[in-house]
Amino acid sequence: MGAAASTYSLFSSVFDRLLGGNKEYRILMLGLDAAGKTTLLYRLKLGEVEHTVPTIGFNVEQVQYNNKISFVVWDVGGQDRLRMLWRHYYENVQALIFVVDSADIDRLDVAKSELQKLVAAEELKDAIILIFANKQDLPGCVKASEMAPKLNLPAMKNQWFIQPCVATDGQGLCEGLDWLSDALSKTK
Amino acid sequence: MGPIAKPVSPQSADAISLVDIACAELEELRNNPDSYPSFPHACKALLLDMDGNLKCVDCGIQNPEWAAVNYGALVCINCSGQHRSLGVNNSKVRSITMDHWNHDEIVKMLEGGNRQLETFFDRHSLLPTSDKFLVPQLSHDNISFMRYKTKAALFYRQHLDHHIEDLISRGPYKGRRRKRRPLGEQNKTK
Repeated sequence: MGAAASTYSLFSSVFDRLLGGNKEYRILMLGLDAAGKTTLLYRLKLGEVEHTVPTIGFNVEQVQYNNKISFVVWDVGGQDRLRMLWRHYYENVQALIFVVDSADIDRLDVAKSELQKLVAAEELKDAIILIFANKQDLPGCVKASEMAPKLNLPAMKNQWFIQPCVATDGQGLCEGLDWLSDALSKTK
Repeated sequence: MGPIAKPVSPQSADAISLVDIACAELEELRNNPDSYPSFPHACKALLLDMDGNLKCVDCGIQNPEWAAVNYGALVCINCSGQHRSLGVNNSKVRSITMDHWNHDEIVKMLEGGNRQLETFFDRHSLLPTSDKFLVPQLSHDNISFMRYKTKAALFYRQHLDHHIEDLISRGPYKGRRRKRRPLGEQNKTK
């Protein structure tokens, strides 16, 4: 029975691919600590926010979007000393979601340099990049349009898009994923 | 047997040299602002030696390894999650073990401390045991969340900020002044 089931799932996944439906993409979600990566992941996966704690290591979830596209999202901890582990997750990544805390103005520069390190990596040279300017509900936050030059996005060679959002209530997430699935479906 | 050496208090001798080493670590950091290292060893020892710093300031769990830097307080990983949800302008969270620290942040931690914050919260009836929190619907998480959104908490943050600014402008850090009175009492006597 197990063999039958796996044959079926193999067959159906090949079939889906031929029809151009239900593709699965490997997505890496990075950003500084407390940017809101884990909240964003569980908002996408469960449609609700859990009380999150700092991620030591990673979370990985499969997220089905609009019944036609499936993301396997890797959410990796962003604490200073965890960032040197990010490179171990680069392989076979089709897209990068980079999350920024729009209210953490003091560390926009740090976010910029971390993003620059990412796009300089050989494994990520073709990756599509979605930047979420998160926490747009907080007072004093930077607007997405102002953030693009601050992160030096126009100089990036990768295909990119910046989307303002509030991960805790889901605002802006669909718009971001719409762009991402659209951009991914146009590759290859 | 030779003469017995006069008993000296080893603790105070250690404490003094520890402060000296910590101050040297801080001075090094001040001169190399780009080095941005892990929390320095002597500074960490000094931090954990401070009153109340062996327990999370919010829930009391032992050996907290996370810092609510704006309050100069140590919290456990679970409560650090609550602090992060307050936004970075209210509470900036750093890991003692996994993050890099700059000079000013470390001085803030050494000039704050869990006991000082608790004393302050106590005076403003903002301890979890205080009457105003005797509402059955409130979970413990709600309490820690609420008290950091008060005007009192804002006052504490700003006061600590100004104190650190002033202290740093006076030159190298020389350790915490002995018998410093809790924040509010300083004002009263002035």
